[in-house]
Amino acid sequence: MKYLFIISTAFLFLLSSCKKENAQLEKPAITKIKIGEVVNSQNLKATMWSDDSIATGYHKLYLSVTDASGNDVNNATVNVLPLMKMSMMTHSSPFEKPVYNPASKLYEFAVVFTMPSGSDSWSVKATINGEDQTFNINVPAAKTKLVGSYVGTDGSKYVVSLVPLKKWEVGLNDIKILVNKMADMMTFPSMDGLNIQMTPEMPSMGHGSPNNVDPTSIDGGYYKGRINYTMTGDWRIHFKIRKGDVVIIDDASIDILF
Amino acid sequence: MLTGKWILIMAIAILPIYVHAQNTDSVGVKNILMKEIIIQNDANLNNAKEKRQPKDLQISAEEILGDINGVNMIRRGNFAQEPTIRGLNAGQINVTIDGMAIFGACTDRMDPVSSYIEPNNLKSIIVNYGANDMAFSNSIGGGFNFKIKQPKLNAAKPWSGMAGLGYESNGNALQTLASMDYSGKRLGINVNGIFRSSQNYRAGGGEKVSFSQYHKWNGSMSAKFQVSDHHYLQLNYIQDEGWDIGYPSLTMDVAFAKAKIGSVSYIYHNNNGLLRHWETKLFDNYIDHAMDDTKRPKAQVPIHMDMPGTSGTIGFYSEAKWLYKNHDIKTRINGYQNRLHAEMTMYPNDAAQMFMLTIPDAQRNLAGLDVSDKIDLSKKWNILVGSRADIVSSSIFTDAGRKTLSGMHNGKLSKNQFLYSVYANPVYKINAYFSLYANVARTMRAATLQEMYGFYLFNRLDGFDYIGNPSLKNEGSWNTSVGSIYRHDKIKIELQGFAYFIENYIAGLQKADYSVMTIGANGVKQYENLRSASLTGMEASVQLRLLPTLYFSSANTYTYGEDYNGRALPMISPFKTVNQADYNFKEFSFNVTGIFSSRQNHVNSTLYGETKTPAYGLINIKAGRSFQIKSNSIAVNVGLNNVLDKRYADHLDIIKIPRPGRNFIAHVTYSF
Repeated sequence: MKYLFIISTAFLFLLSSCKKENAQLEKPAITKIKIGEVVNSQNLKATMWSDDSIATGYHKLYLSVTDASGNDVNNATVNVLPLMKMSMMTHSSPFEKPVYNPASKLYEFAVVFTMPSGSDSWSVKATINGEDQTFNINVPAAKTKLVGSYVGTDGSKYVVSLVPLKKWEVGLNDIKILVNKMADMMTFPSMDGLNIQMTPEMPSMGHGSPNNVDPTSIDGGYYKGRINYTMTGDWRIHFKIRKGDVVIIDDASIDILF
Repeated sequence: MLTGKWILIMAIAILPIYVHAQNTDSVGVKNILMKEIIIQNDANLNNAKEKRQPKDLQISAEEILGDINGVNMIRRGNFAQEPTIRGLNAGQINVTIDGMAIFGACTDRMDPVSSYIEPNNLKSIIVNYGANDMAFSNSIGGGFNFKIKQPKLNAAKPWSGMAGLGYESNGNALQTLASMDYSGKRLGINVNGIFRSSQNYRAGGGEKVSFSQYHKWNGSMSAKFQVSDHHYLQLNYIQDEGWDIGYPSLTMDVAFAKAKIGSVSYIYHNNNGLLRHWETKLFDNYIDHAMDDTKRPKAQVPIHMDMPGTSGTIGFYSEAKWLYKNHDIKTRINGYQNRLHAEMTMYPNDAAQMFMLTIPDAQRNLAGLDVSDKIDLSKKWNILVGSRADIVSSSIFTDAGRKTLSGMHNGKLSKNQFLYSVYANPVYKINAYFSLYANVARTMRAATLQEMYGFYLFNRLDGFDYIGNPSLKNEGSWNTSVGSIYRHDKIKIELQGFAYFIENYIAGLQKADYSVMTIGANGVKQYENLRSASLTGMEASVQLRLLPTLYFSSANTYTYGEDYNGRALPMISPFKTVNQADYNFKEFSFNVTGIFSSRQNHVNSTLYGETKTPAYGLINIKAGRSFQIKSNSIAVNVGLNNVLDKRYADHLDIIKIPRPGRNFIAHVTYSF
């Protein structure tokens, strides 16, 4: 009887240690929302991830690339292109090129979904080592307006989008926006060196807030400033955008609800 | 200008008054910067004459306060009026309940501390005109201490009590109150309660003032236990709950205002020896307040909002009185922590609800030491000298609060301050009837938590949203006063002149580039220190016994305030005179009171948002009778206030909502 007990205990121990080894082999799970997964002809598996559910606006996206045996591939050539396929035409939108992050082992990039899918369709074309793959993405409208397209006083079309940072809180918050110009249907170069004047407003009460810091250019089309929310609720942030002294967009606006 | 006025006031105040004297009635000047207004005498009166007088035990705390010389009430409705002393109010004065620090929770000043106590709870009200030995915190304008009624031990009658019913015709106001005392050999207990309510009152001329109703009850219990000779243990608890209270001067009313005030004290008392009295008290109080706009017509409420606030204070004091030769020494240490939280949630029709902290979790800790000595220098001279030091630290105690203010203030939010006051009150007795006295004090106060951390607090007086300023400097003051008292058996004359020179006067200055939070507000102001301000004024009172049964008294006050730029300070009452004739005969009493307040044209509308107020005069009459049934008595008091049904508002009434018109009052009180 005693003998049996020892054997069974030893067996259990063996079993549990086996399990542990298996667990160690598994790579750490990506705690993101999976958007899609494709395997190409080179047997590379590409998976697209997002931090939160996709909707209109600026989104940071990620691609993980693994080979047939499941090892991370860190030297792939990865390019992306967002595409909006409409009945009459196809156009792109502002995006940021993928950069491999060794810490997360992910190719990180960003896309501005300028409009909801509606009856048309959004996709992101990912080119991995020269081979195109398409990730279809359904883009519902965000709860509030986080991106806007404007025809400037110079006749060009501009896209102004909010770059989500931390969760909003009452008080002083960092705010980051991205400004792109539409060169043609497929190219949206980022715009640096503009002068931006920011005015927050609560439309339901008609007041603003003091002590905001206007966003200033920080390269790559990004502008960073500070916004002061005196309370929670609906906020509309107005941006007056100048090139030198010339106003090119009188009122680009972003709507916030928190 | 100021100096000339000051010299004149001083000269009048020390004018020698000579009336030929035959009786020897000495001038009892105890503390010239303090007045104690006795509200309830001991349960068992020894003085048969006093007992027979039909004393009205149902007068409201506000009426009692408003009758004190130099005290005027700020009125926002028919409830919870806020007392001022010589034009100073709110953070400039210090209000305590039996030495306990307590602070209102409402951001619109709807609940001054005095609204959470009833005369039923009280033995007396102590009024301090400036720095003296009675303070529990440094202030520039003195303050009030509401002394709670203590149970008696070993009284002739073990059980005594009273019950009363009161009615006022204007507003159909009703009050019922009762009090019960047990007095044993070593244990005394007092329990009392009151319920008061009123509907909307009518102003003089008959116009109904909407949203002037109120409802409240207040209950209190205190117990005193004699542990051994000279040693006592005392417990006290007051609960006060108001609901459905209208504030016609403000944009919101009150859904509820609740206070819980408790304390436990240990007392040593000995009529002999060096240490005469030593009392140590621990206390805790909590106020829960909620504003309400749901009863207002839609047109008055652009956005419905909830505005609750809480205020919690814990603390202690330990006070000892020593008698050594000709020295009457008082020492006191005390400390408290007060935490304020106020928030606002707005519900717009077509948008998401909005939430903000209006007092973003502000906290104040105070530790203070107070030492004073009253010295009898000679038969003619005595002097009270003393000093008080406070360490005050203010901060924000939550992350949400700090985050809220991150968009408003650069630099540190927390602040430590040192406050001190020193004072000397010499008294010179010219003869048995006539004394002269003076007071010189250097005193200061820290900005209130609202003044430091308030976040868009709407002030109805000037219609501005106010933002706090954590870097405010202490408001300091040099207080000086001189006075004289003449007292004889038939006449008592008191004259007092004062001048306060205030530095770093705290006032709101407009922030032109800030947008208003409150819909319809005139703009945004932030508290700043103005270079200086001054207050001068006088109080003169005469009491005359024309016949053994006929008294005449007159109380006159005047205050003049201006800042360094010659702008009139706000909340300063104009010249006011209250003249009364009392006729007391056996068990009957009659009183006619004439009140006259002159116009106040010395106002500044650009900075302080005040408007001029016309003069008014009023006549009130009262009559009383008491009935003795063995050792029990019934007192019936009737009165007619504003006999002429005059439509009027006082200068301190916010947005000048008219005060009640003619009002018939009846109080019946049964005592046993």
